[in-house]
Amino acid sequence: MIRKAILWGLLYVALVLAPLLLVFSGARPPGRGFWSDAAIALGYAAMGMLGIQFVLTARFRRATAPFGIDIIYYFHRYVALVMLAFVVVHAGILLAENPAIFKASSLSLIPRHFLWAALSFVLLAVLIAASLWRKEFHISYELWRRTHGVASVAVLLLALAHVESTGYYLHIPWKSTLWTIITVSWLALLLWVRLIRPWLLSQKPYRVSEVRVEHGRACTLVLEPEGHAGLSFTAGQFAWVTLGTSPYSLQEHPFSIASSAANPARLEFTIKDLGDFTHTIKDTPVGTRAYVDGPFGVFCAEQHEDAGGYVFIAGGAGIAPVASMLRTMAERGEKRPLYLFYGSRNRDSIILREECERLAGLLQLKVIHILQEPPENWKGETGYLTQEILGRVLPADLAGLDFFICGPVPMIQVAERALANLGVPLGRIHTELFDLV
Amino acid sequence: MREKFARWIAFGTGALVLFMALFFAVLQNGLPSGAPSGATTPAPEVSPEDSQIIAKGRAIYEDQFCAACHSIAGEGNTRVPLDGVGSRLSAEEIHLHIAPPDALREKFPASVFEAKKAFRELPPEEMEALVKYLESLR
Repeated sequence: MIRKAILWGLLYVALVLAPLLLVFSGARPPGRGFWSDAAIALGYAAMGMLGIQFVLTARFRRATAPFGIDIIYYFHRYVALVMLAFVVVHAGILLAENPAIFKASSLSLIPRHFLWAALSFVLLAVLIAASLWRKEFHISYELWRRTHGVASVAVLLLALAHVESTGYYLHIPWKSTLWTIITVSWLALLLWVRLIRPWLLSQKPYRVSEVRVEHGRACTLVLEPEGHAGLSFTAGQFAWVTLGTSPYSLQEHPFSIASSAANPARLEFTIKDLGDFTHTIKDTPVGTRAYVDGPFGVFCAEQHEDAGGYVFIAGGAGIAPVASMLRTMAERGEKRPLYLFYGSRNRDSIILREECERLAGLLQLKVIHILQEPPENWKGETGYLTQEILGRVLPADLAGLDFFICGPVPMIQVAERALANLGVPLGRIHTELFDLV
Repeated sequence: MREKFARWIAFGTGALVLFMALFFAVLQNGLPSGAPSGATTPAPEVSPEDSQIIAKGRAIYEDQFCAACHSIAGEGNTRVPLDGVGSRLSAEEIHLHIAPPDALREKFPASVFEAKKAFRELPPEEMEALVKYLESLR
């Protein structure tokens, strides 16, 4: 995977620097001073990175498959910070060299390109802040999603206006060709995300066939395909679900598939009520239209067939992909030893509790519930998952076991650290994070 | 952990991009403490009258705050150095660069073109002196 990462990383760098490299293919403009040229190069690089941000989140399955889409999203976030830093350095150097801007006595004396840059930068900073601290600012996911799309396009257009109005490097050879290629690609991207993919989704509709209330303020949404075979997926994967609206509205939410992969014609999503959209799911009428874009994700036991056994560590809604994997294993007659460490608030809030018991009867599965508020006479584990519990319950020799962790962030952190302390190699630990933003 | 992996790739590519940007700057200019760009050829013989005009041109260069956007021998705004401009451009071309007519608007960034409009007001003798001074930079 490291080698693949390096190759894609180099491709990324090449794309980002392409416009700059083209400057060298013809008569070079004279040097404008080391720091000025470095600043301008960083500006162009930031521009390139901005354009590619749209490609990263267009959910191209082939591009995300080598890594898993969560890595692409993390990369998108971190690269946004790098881009912001480049813009700050770019502006800092150029402003330091030309402080006359600050002496301008009225707005009309400030060069146009500076105003475009300032607008673009402020909007970019707001956009990034809203994404990093969405919850702290109490922005709903839906509002965030809608504004993020609009704002990022605005940032790009303002940045383009800035570049155009500076007029630097006017004589790059094939400039119009490059411009055309970039514009067409970007429009094609927009077309794919806003029109083509939604149309493809509309050709494979689903209907809600059942809505089941579960323990722990969760509910299970059951979708069945209309006029097609359903969705082939690997147990542990997730998909974007559009419920009750047209796929062109882009009102979609990512949910893990909780049902067995052996049956593509029946998709179950077990979703915890966390306010906003998830609160409304339990009231969805049977027969509601739905659309499913997927599958995505590499949080799959099937991708690690060489394991001697599997250990699942789940908390709250994190049980969904784990349930999918266990149900699939049950249908396929899995014989290897399995462990499920499952954290819940109390006994009554264990989501899919009966299902866990059923699966324990069908598989070599040991279920260890960890309850924060145990009932009287509770003989099981209490509190939160700790290294001590893992160490005590698991066999002394952890070689050959693959670990799958899915749940709230603090639980994931504890689990990862505990497993590292227990000597489990990184390559055997797999995590799925629900709360990317 | 996957997040850490993504972070490493992101910062790694960022570092590579930064390096390439600096490399570009070096290719265009040499290292920051290095020699100025532009070829230098020995200055031709200058007559006494010419050297007076050139001195006058230098004074006009200072009066007009040309150093706000230009540098000579490292002094002033190094973004657009004028070292060696006399070897690169003819007197006519230098004149057209100082005060470009509307037909040449495309050749300059918009704000630069607007700023240079002011130099159309320069009296012809001053413009001539300024051009002579810049011509002498070889």
